[in-house]
Amino acid sequence: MGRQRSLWVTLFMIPIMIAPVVAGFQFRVIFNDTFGPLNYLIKTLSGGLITPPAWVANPQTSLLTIMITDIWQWTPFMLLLILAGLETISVEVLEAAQVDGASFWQLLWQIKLPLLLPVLLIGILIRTMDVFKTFDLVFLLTEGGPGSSSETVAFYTYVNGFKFFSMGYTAALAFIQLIIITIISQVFLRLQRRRGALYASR
Amino acid sequence: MRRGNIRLKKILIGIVLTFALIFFLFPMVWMFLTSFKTQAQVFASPPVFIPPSEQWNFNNYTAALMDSGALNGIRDSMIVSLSTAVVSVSVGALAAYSLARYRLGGEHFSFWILSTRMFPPVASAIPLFLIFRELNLQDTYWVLIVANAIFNLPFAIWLLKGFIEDLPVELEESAFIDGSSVFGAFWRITLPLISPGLVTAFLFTFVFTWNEFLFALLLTRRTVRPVTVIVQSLAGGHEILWAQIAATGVLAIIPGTFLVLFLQRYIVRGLTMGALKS
Repeated sequence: MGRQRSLWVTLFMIPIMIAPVVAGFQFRVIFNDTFGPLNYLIKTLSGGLITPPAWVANPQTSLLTIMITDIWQWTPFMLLLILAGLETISVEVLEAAQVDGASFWQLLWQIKLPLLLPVLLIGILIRTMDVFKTFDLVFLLTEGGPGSSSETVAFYTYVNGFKFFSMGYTAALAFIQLIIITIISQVFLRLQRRRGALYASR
Repeated sequence: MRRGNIRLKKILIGIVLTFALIFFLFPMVWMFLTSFKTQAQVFASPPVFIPPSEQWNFNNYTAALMDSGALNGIRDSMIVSLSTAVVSVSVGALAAYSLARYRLGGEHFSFWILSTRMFPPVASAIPLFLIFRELNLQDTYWVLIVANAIFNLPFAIWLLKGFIEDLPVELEESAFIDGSSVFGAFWRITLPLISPGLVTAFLFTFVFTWNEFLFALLLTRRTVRPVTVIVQSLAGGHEILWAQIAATGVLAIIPGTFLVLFLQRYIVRGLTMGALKS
C-alpha cells in the first residue's frame, strides 16, 4: 500500500496549499448561475425538475457557498489529521479487542473513536479558530452580499475599518474577537500542554 | 468466499476514494480548462467542458502575464515570500533554540508566542496600517515582509522548537565538553540535525505568505502588488475576464501545489503546530 497511499495522500492535499483567493475564484465560476458547471449538472441530472438557486447571488445560499468552499479546501486537512491519529493507535489494542470478539462497528465506535477524540478535538479547535478569520473567501465570492447575508465578522471588521474608517468602532470589534479567540485558544493550548498524550509514533 | 470479500472491499474503497478525489480536484481541473477557453466558450450554455483540442493556445496566459500584471505580481509575491521565509526561519531557529534549551521566559512565554498565531489578522490590520503610515513605509516590500513575518514567526518557532526538543541534549553537551561555545554548538550540531525542520518551516512560511491576501490588500497600493491582489482586482472589475483570471490562478497555485510534494511528511505536524506528529 506504501507508494500507492502516498500518491493518494498527495493528491488529496493539494487544496490545502492553494491560495484561498484562488479557491474563491474557482468556486465563483463553478457556482455561477448562468454558465457555471454545477447548475448545469443539477439541471441535466434532474431532467429540469430541480431549479437550482443562484448560489452566490441569493441571500439564502450566499453563506452556504462560502462554507462549501471552505469545507472543500480544508476537509483534506482533517483527513490527514485523522489518518495520523489512526496510525497512533497501537495494533495490540485493536488485536486485543478483536480477540475479545469485537465487531467492525464496535471496534470503530468503542475503541477507535474514543482514542481519536483528542485528535478530533485539536482539529476542530484549529479549524474553528481559522474559520473565525475567514476573509479572503468572502471577498472573492460574495463581498459580504447580497446585502449583509454573508458578512463574516472578519469581513465586517474590514468594511468598518477600511471602507467607513470608523476606527474606534473597529478597534472595539477587534477586541471582542480577541476575547472570543482567546477563550477558544486557551482550550487548544491546554490540550497542547498535555501533548505527550497526542504524540504519534513516528 | 473470504478472498472474494476482501477483493470486493478493495474495489469499493477504490470507488469511494475516486469519487472523493474527483470532488477535491474538480475545481482545479475546471480552472485549468477555463484558462484555455475563449471568452465565448466561458459564457456558453450548456458549458463547454473541454475546449476543442485544435483551439488550445496560451493566449490567456500571455494576456495575463503581459496586460494584467501577473508577471509583476509573481515577482512581488516571490520577493515578499522568500524574504518572509528567510526572516521567519532564521529568527525562528534562534528563538526556538532558546525556548527549547533554556526555557526562556518559562512555559507561559512560549505559549504566549503560540497564541499570537491565533489572533485574527484583520484585528491587527488597523494598528499595523496606522503604524506603517506613520513610518511612511506603505506600499513597499518592507511592510508586507514585516507584517507576514509577525504572523509566521510563532508558527516557525513552534515547529522548530518541536524539532529541537526531539534532539538529545547530550549531543550539545559533548560539544561543550570539547570546548565549543553555545553558538558553535548551535551552528555545528543543532542546525544540521534539524535541517528537515528548517526546510519544512521555510516551505510552509513561503506558501503561507504567497497565499496571504488581507495584508497584501490593505498595506499596498500600486508599486507592490502580490499575485493574490491581482487575482482579486481582476475578479472585482466590471468586465470580468474569466479565462484570464483562471490563467493567473493556475500560475498562482503552482508553488503551493509543488511544495505539497515536499511537505507531505510534515504537513500534519506543521498545520497543527506540533500538536500532532506523523
